[in-house]
Amino acid sequence: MRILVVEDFKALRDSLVQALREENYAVDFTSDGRQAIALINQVEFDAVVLDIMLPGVDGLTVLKAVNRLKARPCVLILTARDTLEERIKGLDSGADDYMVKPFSLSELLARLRALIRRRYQPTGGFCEVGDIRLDLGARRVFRGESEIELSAREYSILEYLSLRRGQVVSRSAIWEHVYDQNASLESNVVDVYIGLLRRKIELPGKQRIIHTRRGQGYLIE
Amino acid sequence: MKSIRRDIMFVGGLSSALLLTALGVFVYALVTHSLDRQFRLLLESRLTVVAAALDTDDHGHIRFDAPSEPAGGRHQSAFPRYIEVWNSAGRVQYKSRELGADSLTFRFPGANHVYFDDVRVHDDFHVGEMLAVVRMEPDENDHQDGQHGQAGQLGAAEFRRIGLSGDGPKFTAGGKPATIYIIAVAHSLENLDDTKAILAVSLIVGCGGAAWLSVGALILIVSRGLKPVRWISDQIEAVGVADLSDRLATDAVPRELMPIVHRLNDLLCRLQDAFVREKQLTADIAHELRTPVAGLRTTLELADKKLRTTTEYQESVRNCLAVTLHMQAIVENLLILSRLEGNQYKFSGETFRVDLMLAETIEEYAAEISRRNLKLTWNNRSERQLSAPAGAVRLVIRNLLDNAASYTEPEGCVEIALTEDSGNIRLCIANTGSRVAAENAQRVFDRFWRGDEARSLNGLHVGLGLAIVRRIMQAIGGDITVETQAGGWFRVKVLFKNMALNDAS
Repeated sequence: MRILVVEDFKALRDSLVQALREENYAVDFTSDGRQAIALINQVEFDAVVLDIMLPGVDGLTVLKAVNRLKARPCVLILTARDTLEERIKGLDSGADDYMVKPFSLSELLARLRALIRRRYQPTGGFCEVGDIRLDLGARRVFRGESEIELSAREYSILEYLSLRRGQVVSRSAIWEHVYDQNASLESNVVDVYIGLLRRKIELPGKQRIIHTRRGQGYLIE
Repeated sequence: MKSIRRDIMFVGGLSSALLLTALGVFVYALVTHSLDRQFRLLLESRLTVVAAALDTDDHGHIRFDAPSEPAGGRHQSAFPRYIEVWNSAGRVQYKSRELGADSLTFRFPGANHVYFDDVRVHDDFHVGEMLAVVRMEPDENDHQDGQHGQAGQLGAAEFRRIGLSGDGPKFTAGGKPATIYIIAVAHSLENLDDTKAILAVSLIVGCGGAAWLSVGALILIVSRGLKPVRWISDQIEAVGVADLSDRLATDAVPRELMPIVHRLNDLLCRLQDAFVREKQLTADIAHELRTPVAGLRTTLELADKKLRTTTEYQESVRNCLAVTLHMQAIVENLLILSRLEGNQYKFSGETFRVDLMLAETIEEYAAEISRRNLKLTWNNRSERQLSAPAGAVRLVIRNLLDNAASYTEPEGCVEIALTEDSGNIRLCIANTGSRVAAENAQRVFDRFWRGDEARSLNGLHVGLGLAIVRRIMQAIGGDITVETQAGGWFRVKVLFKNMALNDAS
């Protein structure tokens, strides 16, 4: 999952970015409202953590730009403005969640997980594909009662494909949602991870879970 | 505690009591004087009647002729009950029956007045006595007959008094000696005294009652007069502490209290403004501290999430230190601003060269200017001495240079000019790379307002610097203006008005 952090206070922004990366999110960041708008128009983010008071243009203007996107990421407003009116204004402007600074990092991460989950699957904290069950909260994968050990990157790809079950997802889309701008593009890295995933989640002789659509991408059914 | 009601009651009650007492005494004196005068006139008229009726018989005994004897008859009322007549030697010649064994007081009435006295008869019976000298002129015809003299005339009938001297007055009439009698009439003072007593009692009761009535009226007036004050008090009590937008109504206020209500409403306006400012300041401070606190908390929570390498912990500590410095800058600047706004800074005038101070401060920022490769030019340099609080001016210069060094883009330009004109010294510091829009130029003086990304640069810009600078300039009697220009120029102009000394050194 790819997340954009828009925050102008450096220490907070750095810590947030690091915390999200440690949760295996692909994270981009900026301190400027105009740059944030440019980024969301270039990249399909899954979530945006957005401050309101920003240099350049403010967070609400960024939110308007987000609302105009076709594939709209979920937006969590993270601001020092704490009055009821401001919360209502933020949510009415299209934000999916609103948190007031200072906040608990664990709660922020939990809320982001919930937002992303809802974006792809309206209910529940689990996603089932064939006999595979993903615990989206715990980021764990099970077959029946036994857990399948996946690396963070493998889990991210499986989660992304599972949440878009039934849809063909291009390699570049997988790339965009799993890697941030800091990662260097290697042409076959997605294929390599898909191969690894197949070996771990598909049983020999059984029906495939991850299907390849030549020239289009991958599909989970 | 001082009480208006008590003061008014005391002063008003005392004044009315004194006034009414004086009025009572005056009325009593006036009326008794009038009564006394009336009594005397009555007595005089009766004395005249008696004198006119005085006559002697052939034996020289006193008798009263027409209109009638004093003892009775239809003219009895015109005659006093008490009559006594003496001859000039003071021997009683006649005494009315009512006097019995008592006697009126004999004395010579004097030359020019009718003698009036308060005498007692019948033990303790007060009567008013009036005496007069009467001369009896011999009647020619009577004399021929050896009979009566002419009826007595009282002091030539117009109360012309007759002087007495020696062993008695000797009068002549037509060459013949006249006989002198001293005649006294008296009339009971009982009615007069009763009337006076009734008058006195009436006045005491009346004035006393009036005094009490006036006290009652005063209570009523004071109570009614203070009613609007109580009303205002209730109105003030109804003004909420949390919400000072209420104002005292003016429609039911008496004209005399209207200035107080207007002043109170003005005071409420000022209080409301101050409260709004304080609330805004508190909200601003809370808001500005939330973000660094959030940064601090997130950094610490992240560090605590799992065991990390020494390098990662060092990075966390550095982040926390940067946040702490930012918060420290907020607190210190707020303290300065708060003291400036509370007029707690005591600026004392000093004499110094502002160009030297400027050069010293530029030195402090030389490293930062060099690091960011800024091009600094100093065009005009006035060497005029400035008479101003040096500490305050240094703070102004440091804040402005700090802003210029921080906000100018790398390899940008900073221009400084120090000029003088007729007692004024002007400092202008301009820099490129400004992201302050022209319409926001005046907002740079607002607390916590930041025109660009300064907060993320080094964590030390908290949006208070120019607010402090403007407050200092106001406090020392100077001025500060800002303007934005094409090419990203941001220009700050500081005027040290009438602070330049004449002699350059």
